[in-house]
Amino acid sequence: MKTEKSDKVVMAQVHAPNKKVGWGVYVISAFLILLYLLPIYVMLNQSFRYITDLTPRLYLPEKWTFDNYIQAFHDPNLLNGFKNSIVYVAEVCALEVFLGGLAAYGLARSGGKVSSALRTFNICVMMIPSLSLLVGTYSLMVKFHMINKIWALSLQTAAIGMAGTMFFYTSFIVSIPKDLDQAAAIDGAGILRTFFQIILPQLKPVTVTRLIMIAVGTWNNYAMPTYLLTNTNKATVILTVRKAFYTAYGSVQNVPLACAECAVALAPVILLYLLLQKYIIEGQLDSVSK
Amino acid sequence: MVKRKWATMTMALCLAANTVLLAGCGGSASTPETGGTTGAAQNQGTETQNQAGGESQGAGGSDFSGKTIEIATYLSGDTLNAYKQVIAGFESETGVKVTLDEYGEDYESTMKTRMASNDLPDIFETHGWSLIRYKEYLTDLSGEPWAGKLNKAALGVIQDTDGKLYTLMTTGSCLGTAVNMNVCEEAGVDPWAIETWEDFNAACDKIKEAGFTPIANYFTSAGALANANGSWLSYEGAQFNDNEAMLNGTWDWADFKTILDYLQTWFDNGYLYADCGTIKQADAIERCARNECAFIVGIGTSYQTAVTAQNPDVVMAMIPICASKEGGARFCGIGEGASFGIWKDTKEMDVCKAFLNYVSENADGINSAAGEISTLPCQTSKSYGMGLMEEMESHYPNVFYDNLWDRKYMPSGMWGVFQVAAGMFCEDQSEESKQEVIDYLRENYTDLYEASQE
Amino acid sequence: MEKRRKWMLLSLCIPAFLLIFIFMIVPLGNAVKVSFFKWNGYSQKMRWVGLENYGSIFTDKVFLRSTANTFIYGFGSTLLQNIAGLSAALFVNRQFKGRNLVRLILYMPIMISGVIMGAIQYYIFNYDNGVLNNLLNLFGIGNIYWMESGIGSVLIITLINSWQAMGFCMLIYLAGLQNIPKMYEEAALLDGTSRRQIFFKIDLPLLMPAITTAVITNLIGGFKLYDIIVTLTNGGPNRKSLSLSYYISLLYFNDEKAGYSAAVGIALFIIIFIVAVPINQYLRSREVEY
Repeated sequence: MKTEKSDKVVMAQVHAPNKKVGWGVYVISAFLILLYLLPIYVMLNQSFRYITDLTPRLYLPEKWTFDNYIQAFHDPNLLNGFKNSIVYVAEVCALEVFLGGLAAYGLARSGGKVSSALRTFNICVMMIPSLSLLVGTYSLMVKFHMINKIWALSLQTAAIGMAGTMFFYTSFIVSIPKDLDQAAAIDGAGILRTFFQIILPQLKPVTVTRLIMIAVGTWNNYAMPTYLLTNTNKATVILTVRKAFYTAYGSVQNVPLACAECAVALAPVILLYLLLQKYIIEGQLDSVSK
Repeated sequence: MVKRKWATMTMALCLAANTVLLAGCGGSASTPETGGTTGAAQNQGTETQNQAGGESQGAGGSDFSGKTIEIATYLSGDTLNAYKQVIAGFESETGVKVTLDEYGEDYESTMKTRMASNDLPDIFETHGWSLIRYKEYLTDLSGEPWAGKLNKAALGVIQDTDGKLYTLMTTGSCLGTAVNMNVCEEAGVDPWAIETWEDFNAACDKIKEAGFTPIANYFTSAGALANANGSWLSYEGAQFNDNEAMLNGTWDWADFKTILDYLQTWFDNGYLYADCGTIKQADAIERCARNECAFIVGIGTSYQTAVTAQNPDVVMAMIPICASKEGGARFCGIGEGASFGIWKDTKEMDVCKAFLNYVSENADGINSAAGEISTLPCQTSKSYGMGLMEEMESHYPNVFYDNLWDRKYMPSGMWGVFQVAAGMFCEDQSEESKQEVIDYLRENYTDLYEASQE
Repeated sequence: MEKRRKWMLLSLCIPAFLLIFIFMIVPLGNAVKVSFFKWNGYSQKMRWVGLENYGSIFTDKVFLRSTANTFIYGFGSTLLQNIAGLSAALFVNRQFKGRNLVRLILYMPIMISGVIMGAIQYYIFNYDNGVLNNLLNLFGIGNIYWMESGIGSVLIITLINSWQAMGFCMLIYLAGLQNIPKMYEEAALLDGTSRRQIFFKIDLPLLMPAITTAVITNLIGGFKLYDIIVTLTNGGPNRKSLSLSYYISLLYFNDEKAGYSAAVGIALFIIIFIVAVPINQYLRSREVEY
């Protein structure tokens, strides 16, 4: 693309959107799409194989089978994992958006030294990897019998993400004119009512974006859940799929089955992504361009 | 010294016990009508819950329906499925609800965290650590009805010096050298003639010439250092005779260099896979199933089972771990396979004991799926692993059995240390690196030994 | 009245900061305490060793290596993601049929958990029968051992992480590009400025806010990297591809050195703090602009 000719093509495109484009664009598009779908292909390709199929992984199975999917669907842990993940994600989303939004409102509107100090503190907290506190967190959770409790993990996850959510909301609330809540205050509305009736509706579009970010992060969270949800009944779907790749103590590692479980676990996420692409991509675009 | 002699004797008896066991299995193979499995089925039919548990409890027919117990396991795959069937049988017979935690690769770390919180599952697998690591959390089971039925091989591994038993071991894993017979045949190597490490290297040379990879050992596992070369260190016919020192914390780690020097020949002669520092067991299994490699040293019979599952046409065998010199003992390590202990603070002690009782009577499925050796008299058919052992014993009548080296002589926690050391050694086999590996081992051994004495 | 209102507003922050206090500050204190002890992480016995754990940090090669890796993961993926993200944004910013599809697919891997991605990528980068080597074999090139050296593994992990998270940068830049008024470019074009000059003189400066947002987000993500390493290399070969987060969990749960693990956690904490200070200042200064 660095040639003089293609530069002209670029130029032409920017300024004359409906003109015909060169085939180079489609070659690059095809290459990018292949590059980004390769892992999905590898996963699906594996999942249709028999365990005895030892042919190169690049090529299609020598004999196709759906047995792995049948087995994956019959795995009660996978279904249970979905249930746990949904509960976990819902709890974290609710906690972060509600508490984080409320706190951000307080921070953005109160002003003064305390608020400023808290906001600096927030930015520092945002950077901390949760695993640097592993020993401390773990022994705390053990002491108060919070291991294998999804609500406890939700609180922990929300606490880790809270600073980021507050930061995110604060910068948006700051841009909402103060006149709005002053008008409400004159009408006699309390602080909480102002927040719920005036501020929250204004935050709706960014909340959708933030919710998606939190939900994706929480759904895929692995580090702390491995240590805090040790009971199989409490495992999230990611933990369950991870287990399918285990090669514990010489037992047969069933890669095709593991890949089928992966595919089943990923299907709803990808499906939701395709259905909600408008909100996810456009929402993300809107939120960062503000 | 006395303890060692005693252990050696039990191990010698183990061979005899196994042979008897094998004969027993062969004899009863055609009479599946007897035994617990059928009993359980009949009980289900009568639907009298009060009596249901009675037969297998031995504790007097109390009603367990509505009770719940939690069981933790590291098993996966077929063995786990067999185990689940046993649990299902127990559930329908007694009305107990069993929660099964499958921790797989995370079993050890998870159990450590649960020990930290003193919140253990009612029943959990002890995987070779019933004495060293888990003892203070386990219930003494020596009074249980099945305790007398365990064979000597099992007792040698799980019985404490004061005669206490902390775990029901239904299968033992037997570690030897796994052999791909197809590869050996093509390279013109007779694995049954291998006696010492020199013989082994000569065979490897031949295999390499024929275009195969001789040794599939991988150094992402602690086994590469801790299991593979037990015969150099502590067993009859070995160079060193310092087991006492290993146990009382005064062992001179400089002796470990002999093992590293030998392992270096594997690297120098190109016996290993180029990527032996990053592959996992599953990769070794896959390559063996493709008939690409000949040996893997210090691995349980479950490996062969896994290989044949991926390619049923491969003929696998097992030979003992080589002798350190001519006439020395050829060694196989016996470790705990599927073994279950009861948490000493469980709220459902009776249920747990009833469960172990039930397992002891219905362990056949687990045994045949595990492909390991059975430690309880078995009723149906002999497992694939038993077949491998039988074959091995027909070629090598004087195999020396002992507990796995690290489980017997090393303090708890050394397994992870060996894993790190294996990685260090695999990257660099120079003299300085060897010294570094030994220093690392010594340092951690001293720490862990001191911790275990506190 | 004003003062009372201010404190009431600040009180809205209490729940959120309480959560942060319980799950971040208390564990931090706990970790500081544990870091003065020799403890295997599960036994009831702990032995006071003073500063010994902190002393061992400086002679621990694995720690130094993991720290270097953490910086590579942090800065390396930031660099790669921004370059790739900007290029991709410039590419999909052009009008051609199917550009939404390309955008959709480039963003998709963000939805997939790092653990699953690592497990699948293992089969792509495997030496023997890996998909990438299968592909190379098609062109007559022999197998390449991608994971042979520590640095090779680190670079591949960085590459995969950048590949996976690149879509986020792409969206940020896309939003930035769409906000640049077209008339600037048109005016420059009329002056006879070359396309490349337009990019460097007009587009890039106007993209600066987007660039900083992207850099900060990527840095935070890169420093926390953990999931992919677990399933892709397991930290190997010879613990040379560990991130500090992963090293901390290995020390705790594998090596049974909880005290030392806590000390490394504190060290990571300090490292992050040093990196975060300039970022913090920048973010604070930007907030003022509102």
